[in-house]
Amino acid sequence: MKNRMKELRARDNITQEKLANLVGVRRETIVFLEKGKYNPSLTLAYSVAKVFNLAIEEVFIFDQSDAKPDI
Amino acid sequence: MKNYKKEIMVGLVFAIIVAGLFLWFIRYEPDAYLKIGIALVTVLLGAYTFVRQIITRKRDLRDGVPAEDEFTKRTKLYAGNRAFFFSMYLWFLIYLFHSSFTNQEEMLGLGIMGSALIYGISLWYYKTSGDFNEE
Repeated sequence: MKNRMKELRARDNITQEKLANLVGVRRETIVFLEKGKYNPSLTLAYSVAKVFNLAIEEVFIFDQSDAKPDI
Repeated sequence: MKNYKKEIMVGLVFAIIVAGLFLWFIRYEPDAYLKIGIALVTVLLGAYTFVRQIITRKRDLRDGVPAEDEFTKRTKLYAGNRAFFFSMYLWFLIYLFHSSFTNQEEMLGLGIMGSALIYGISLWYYKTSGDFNEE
């Protein structure tokens, strides 16, 4: 799953540390999220989207290829 | 004190292991310098990890960073799962080659230390790569 976190952070001038504090996670979690190596829980995705005043799907881009073939 | 509950528990378990280890050496193998050396290195590594954990936790508390979040919890879960899987292979190998060990203590020690090492490597792998194969 891709996301626009890095771009949105730059837009709002928020550091990874500040974002981590705002959503209540460790900075490493934000690093892995931005790299697209970790898919957040729905709660965390909602919290991140709320920080940027956007909907979840505007921050996290769900690609059809992310879906399992049998779904 | 409440914030350091985990660290205090780890410290207590560690102290019991160290005390047990030394009492065992003093009682049964006072001349086994190699084993005592290995035990000392293990103890020093454990003490270093413990002190580092305390310092990190203190800094996290100062900065308002949670000790655990969903990523670290998942890391431990996956590392435990993977370590259990590979440990089974290790114990199976030990079972296959049990006749090549001179005594049972060595065999069990290798199994326990090996399992701990496998868990450590798994934890390090998931912490650094974040590779949960979720794609």
